[in-house]
Amino acid sequence: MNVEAKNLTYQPSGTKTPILSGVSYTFSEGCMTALLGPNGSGKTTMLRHFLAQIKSPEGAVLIDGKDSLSYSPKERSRILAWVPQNSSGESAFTVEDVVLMARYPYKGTWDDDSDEDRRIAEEAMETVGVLQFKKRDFTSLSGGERQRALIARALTQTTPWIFLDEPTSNLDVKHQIRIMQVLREKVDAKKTSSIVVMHDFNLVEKYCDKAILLKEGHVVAKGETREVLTPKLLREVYEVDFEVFEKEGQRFFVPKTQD
Amino acid sequence: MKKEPLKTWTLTMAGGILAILLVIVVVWAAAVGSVSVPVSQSARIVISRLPFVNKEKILEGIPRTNKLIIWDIRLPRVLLAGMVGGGLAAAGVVMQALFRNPLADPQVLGISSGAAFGAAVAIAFGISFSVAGISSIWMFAFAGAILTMLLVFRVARIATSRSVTGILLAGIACSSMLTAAITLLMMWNHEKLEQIYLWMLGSFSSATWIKVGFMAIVLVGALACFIVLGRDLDLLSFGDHEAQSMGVSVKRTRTIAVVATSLLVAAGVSVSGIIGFVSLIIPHIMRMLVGPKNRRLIPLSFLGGAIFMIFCDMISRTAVPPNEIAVGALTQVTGAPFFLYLLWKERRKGERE
Repeated sequence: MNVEAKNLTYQPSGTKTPILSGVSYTFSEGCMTALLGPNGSGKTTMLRHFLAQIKSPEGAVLIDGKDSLSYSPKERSRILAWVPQNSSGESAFTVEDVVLMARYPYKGTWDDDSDEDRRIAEEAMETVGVLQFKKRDFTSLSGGERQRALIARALTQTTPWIFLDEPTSNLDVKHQIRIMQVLREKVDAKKTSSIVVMHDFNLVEKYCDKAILLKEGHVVAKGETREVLTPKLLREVYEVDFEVFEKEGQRFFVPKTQD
Repeated sequence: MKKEPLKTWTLTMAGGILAILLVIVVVWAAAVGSVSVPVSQSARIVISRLPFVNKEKILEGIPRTNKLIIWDIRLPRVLLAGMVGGGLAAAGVVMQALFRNPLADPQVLGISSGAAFGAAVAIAFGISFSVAGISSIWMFAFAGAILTMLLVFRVARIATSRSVTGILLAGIACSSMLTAAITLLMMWNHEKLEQIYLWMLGSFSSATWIKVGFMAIVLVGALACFIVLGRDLDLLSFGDHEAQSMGVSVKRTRTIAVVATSLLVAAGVSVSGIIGFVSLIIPHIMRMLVGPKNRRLIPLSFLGGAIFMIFCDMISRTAVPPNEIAVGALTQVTGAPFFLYLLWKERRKGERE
């Protein structure tokens, strides 16, 4: 199943410059793709198109060649899962309740949570390390714990595609690695392809197959991670000089400070 | 997999106990009043109306006046109080889910003020007629509630494409505008001041079987919508975007839920006046008891609201005979301090953690 962005252009009414202009990209299945770019370069706006939260006047998102807006929310949610940067959940649902909500697209109006649903949710909570919190209120979790619970929820949705908006932004180093590892394993097992908005080039270099570099709503570079992550391109996009060290075939990016 | 049989069992128990309690309260409340009727007679009169019951046998020995008082006067009033109380509580649960705000209630949306304004217009201009048992005041109140609701949604949609705060702000604005208009109506029509004021305070004293029937139809329809949408409402508490990403048809869910709540509240307010705090307190208490899942919360809140309202109405008509206390004032007087207590307790809990 292919997911494709076709000529995405987005300009909120009353603004002078578009947030996205003519972005096209075909996401390949069985890949972990990083979506890179400075703040305000259009990464989240691009994700929002995929989730049918906004509509591009000319362009479209195609799922299997069909406009994603022609799918019902339920159909779409069996294909694409989303991990938001922050969740707006405020009710006193337990972590387990929240994770189980992601089984919604597979249920009829009167179906209760089945043993299968519980097993999938339990496994997802286990992989991201929130199983011990499952009876706690979702709202009582810390930022990082919440973020992991949201990842567990997206995994419980068992979709072929998963879109993550800065999934590691609130996590400690151990959990950053754990989450990237989990996503990588899902890709390698050919279960879920992922698209990840990230700012940590070292994690991207280690885990992602492909990368897209956005600047001011345009695609500056796209392709294999190794080709996109170069000091020259990074300088052009981020206006920061990077030094690159190489150890055992992996490159490490360290920003050069001015002084 | 562990299934938590205990929790399901507790919930069924809670529902069962509340349902039994409701039946007891209905029978009891019908027996209590200026003319006291034995509870056993009240129960027999209620039972006699059930299908497959031998009427003559069960009603044997009950004076005709008692039958009249219970069936024609008290029962419609008790049932109407129960349905309005339960309906307002259920509507409160749904509004709080829709607006993701534990303080959202029909008054905030301006629906109650709309009904009050409609009633005030009818009273102030002496519009008095009745069609098939439906009085003009009642009709005007219902129309006022529906028109206000349409106005609020119209404005909110133009302003911010149906966003949550947009609707709340539009509701608050309409509400204060209408309240001011009612005040003006009251000032220009001094002789009608008391009547308008009493209507606004809320009462079930004008209950009839026609009102009961009307309320029952709206109530059953709205509750059915709420229960069907229960899980969608759970997901909506994470916001429209997250709910949609998990498969909820957000626009459809919101539209159905908003229309059903508005009709329910409009029906409730038009037959009884403004009755505050039920839609705030009952859902709050039930949420503490059974958690936030709407499929459980809505039926249990309905039962709780019905019991609470019948009880309040019983006090309102028996506390200071021969006068009545406005039931709306009673729910405010008991509800507001209780609500403050809940907030205070919650805050203490928050501080300890």
